[in-house]
Amino acid sequence: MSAALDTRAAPQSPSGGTLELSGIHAGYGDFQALFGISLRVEPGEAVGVVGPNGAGKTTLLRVISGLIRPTAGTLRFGGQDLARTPPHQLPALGIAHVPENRRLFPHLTVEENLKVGAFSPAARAHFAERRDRVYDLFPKMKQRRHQLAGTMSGGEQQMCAIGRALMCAPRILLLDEPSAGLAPIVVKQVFDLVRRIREEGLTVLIVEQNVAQVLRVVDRAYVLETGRVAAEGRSSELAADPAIRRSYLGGH
Amino acid sequence: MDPFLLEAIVNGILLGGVFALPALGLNLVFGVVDVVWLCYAELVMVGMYAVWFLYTQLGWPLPLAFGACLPVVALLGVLLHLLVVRPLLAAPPINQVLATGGVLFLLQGAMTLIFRTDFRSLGVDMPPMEVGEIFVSGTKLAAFCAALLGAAVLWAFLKFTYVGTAIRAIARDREVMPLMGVDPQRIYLIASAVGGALAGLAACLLVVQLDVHPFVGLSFGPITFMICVMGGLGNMLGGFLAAFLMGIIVSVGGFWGTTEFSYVVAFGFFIVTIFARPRGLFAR
Amino acid sequence: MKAFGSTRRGLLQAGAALTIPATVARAQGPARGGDPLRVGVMTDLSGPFAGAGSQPLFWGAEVAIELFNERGGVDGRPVQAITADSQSKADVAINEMERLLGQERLEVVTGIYSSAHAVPLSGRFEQARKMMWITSAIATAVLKDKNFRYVFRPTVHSDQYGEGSISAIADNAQAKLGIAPDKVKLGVIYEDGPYGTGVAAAIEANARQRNMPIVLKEAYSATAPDLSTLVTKLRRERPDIVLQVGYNPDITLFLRQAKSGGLRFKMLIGHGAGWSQIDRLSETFGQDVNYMCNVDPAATQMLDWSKLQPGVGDLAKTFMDRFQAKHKLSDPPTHASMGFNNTWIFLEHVLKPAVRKTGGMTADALREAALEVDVPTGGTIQGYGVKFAPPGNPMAGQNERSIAVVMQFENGKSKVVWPAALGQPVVMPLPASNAYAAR
Repeated sequence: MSAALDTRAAPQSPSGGTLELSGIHAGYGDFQALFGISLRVEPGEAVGVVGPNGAGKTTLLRVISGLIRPTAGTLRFGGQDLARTPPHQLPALGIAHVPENRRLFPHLTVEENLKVGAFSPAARAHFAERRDRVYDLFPKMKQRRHQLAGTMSGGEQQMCAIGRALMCAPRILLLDEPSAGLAPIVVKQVFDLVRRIREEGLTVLIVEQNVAQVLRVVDRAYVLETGRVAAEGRSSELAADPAIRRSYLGGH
Repeated sequence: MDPFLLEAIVNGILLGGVFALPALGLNLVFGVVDVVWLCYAELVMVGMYAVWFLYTQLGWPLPLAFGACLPVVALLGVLLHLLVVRPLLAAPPINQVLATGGVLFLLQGAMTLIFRTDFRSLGVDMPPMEVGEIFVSGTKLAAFCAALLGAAVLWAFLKFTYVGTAIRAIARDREVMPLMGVDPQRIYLIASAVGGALAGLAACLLVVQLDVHPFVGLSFGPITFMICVMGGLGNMLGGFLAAFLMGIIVSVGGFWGTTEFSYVVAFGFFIVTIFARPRGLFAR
Repeated sequence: MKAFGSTRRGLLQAGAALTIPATVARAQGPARGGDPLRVGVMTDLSGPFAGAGSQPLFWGAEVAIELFNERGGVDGRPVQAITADSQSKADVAINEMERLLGQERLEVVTGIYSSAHAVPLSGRFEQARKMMWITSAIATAVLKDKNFRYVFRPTVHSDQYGEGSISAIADNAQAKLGIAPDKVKLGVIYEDGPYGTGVAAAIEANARQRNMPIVLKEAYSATAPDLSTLVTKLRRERPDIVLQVGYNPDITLFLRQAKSGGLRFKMLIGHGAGWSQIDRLSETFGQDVNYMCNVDPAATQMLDWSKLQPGVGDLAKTFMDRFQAKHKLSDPPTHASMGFNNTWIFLEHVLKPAVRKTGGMTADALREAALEVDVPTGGTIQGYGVKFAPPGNPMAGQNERSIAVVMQFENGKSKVVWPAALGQPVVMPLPASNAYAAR
């Protein structure tokens, strides 16, 4: 009783929070996508989730940001149980999610996209300051601030989507396939950005098929196969693992 | 130019202003909530009764009655959303349409019970203006200006506020909204209130031009739907422009042909639009 | 696009599903013993027609049935009204007719306000061999060349409206306007249903007979949201006299837009329906409708009751007293008189003899009784007599003795101005004080 009250009384510890999944089962209707996933991301850490198509990576992120409710298992962030938190309250708790395919609002300008990202009352108060920070991070966005988001290149759109997610001043950033559909040179730019973001101290959980790139950015990674954790470890260990190399790194 | 033709064109533009507000409101709600309020013209009708009642029966000053009409109809929009639309959000569109269609008859019936079928008039009239050889109704011109003003305020709301920006965003991608910290249910509610307020404003502008009776929605409801579809359902700017286009078609068509013929032209144009540009005349 | 497709389909289905007829209460007169005689009364108690005369039409019929029952019904058998509200919609009227004839097994239905309903209904009554007793719908086309045997109309038909207004203009043009009758320019505007179309055709035929020029003849929908283009065109054509055939919202819309559109004329003559509702029009337009005219069967209070057949004046007075006590209208509209009078003609001159003769009230017995009715002029509270055109006549079922008069509004009251023998001199052109008066 008192423990439950405690976690609610201090939901936003300034030092950031640990994301902790334990025994998560989830799916869509009758289709089960995740079978007992346990995963942990410490504050300041960058963690990757890799695996083939259909392994349940996107589902995992959707569970964390509340778009899908787990059927079993627990989900905690900073000690707080998120099982009953409505998804739209998560940005205010410090969880930002850059969804698969970016999902920008193509008919809004870059700056309007950032504005939607700053919708929660707490974020509105800091809009100008955070916007300027995003523009520092992505100077191109500043040049294009009045351009419709849909008219930009894929890489620019990915940066805009990350910028939009940063507008709520998150403690953890969830990135879903940030490299999907981008040219190799752009992929490199995107991962450089991710590295800079985490160097500023932000916790990052990144889901990727581009295993080689992601292992260069993250500290640790989980390998997901058909909804289960098949392997986990430090990125250097995984990169060296022959089985992983064979399956995901093309054996080079 | 033939002064009478010019008068017909001017009247068409003024008429477009009258159609524009309900078209905007209907499009706003459809764009955000993805449900067609079939009873939209009846919300306007209730607003017209509200103004008539406050002004002629309770003796309120007219501006005050107008001022009260907006929140009253906005509240009606909120209730419509909470009681009828929200429980059916996951239902097939046909159920939603049938339900709001049911509200249409409910409102007609309720107003018939309360006010009977009598035609009610405010008895307010502004003097006509004679510009050169053409006559312009002062009432219509005032209504037109108020409609433009209302549209401008709506535009500013959608363009510059957080909620307005979220409304424009949700019209394109509702699933991603929670990730932005936006509660879609709240946006639906706000859009319903704004849609209701627009119906209230339309009521203020119409009540000075048309008599109020429980079936007055028939006069402008169907054409409002046509305008929305022509402009592209959910496309606010498209609907706004289509309202003026329709006003001019009806007016000039009636001038060259007959009043009846003008509606044939308007409907013909509508049908051609549906086939030629099913996403609306102004779809990008 | 998916949502859009479903929505359009939805609109259609919603439209179809929601025309379910309203459940209708049964009005019952005070019973006196004996099986009640069940008579259908179908009027529009909701929708645009209700405010354009159908409501007072029903109230008039109601008073007739109450009075008839108080006076003993038919030898102690009271009349029981089975009412139906056709809601100003033709499809509802048809469904309600099916109910009245099918479920309720009625032999006769009275009422029927609108010609738009009477046209589709009449054929069905004829086919079902049940009596349709039209107390209001006036389009000539309802009966003309149909050779119906079960459809009767004691009230006027639309050709008589055209005859009334055109004759009144022709009779007064030279003396009042200083214009030869064949130089008076007419503008004819009318709602586009069978009623407006029928009356407008009669106006045109009568005008042509007298070589009167019609500068504009145009139909519009009674629910049109705007008539300003029509006003513009009238202003361009400059008619001396505007003749309108309309319901209610369209008349007020036209008058309002005509005023702000700068339309001026020497006289405006309405032709029943909305123009019959002088109380309403005065309430909305005040002095602006003063001295405008209307063609209709006379409301009973416009007549000199002492000139009617013996006893008819007393009936008129009883009706007026009851109606005014119940509904508080200073000048009850013509439709109130029509509702009472035409229902009374049925009860007294058709139902009573038929029941007495055959002991029952089959449609065939009623029909035979109707064909035998012979009430002289002055024999009803609206001044006309009753004699139905027999089968074989092009207007079979029409009361050949019906009369439409032209009346003029003067300070909220109507007075008869045509035929000259019945009325007073007309005030024409509109006095300069009138907002629409040509200057």
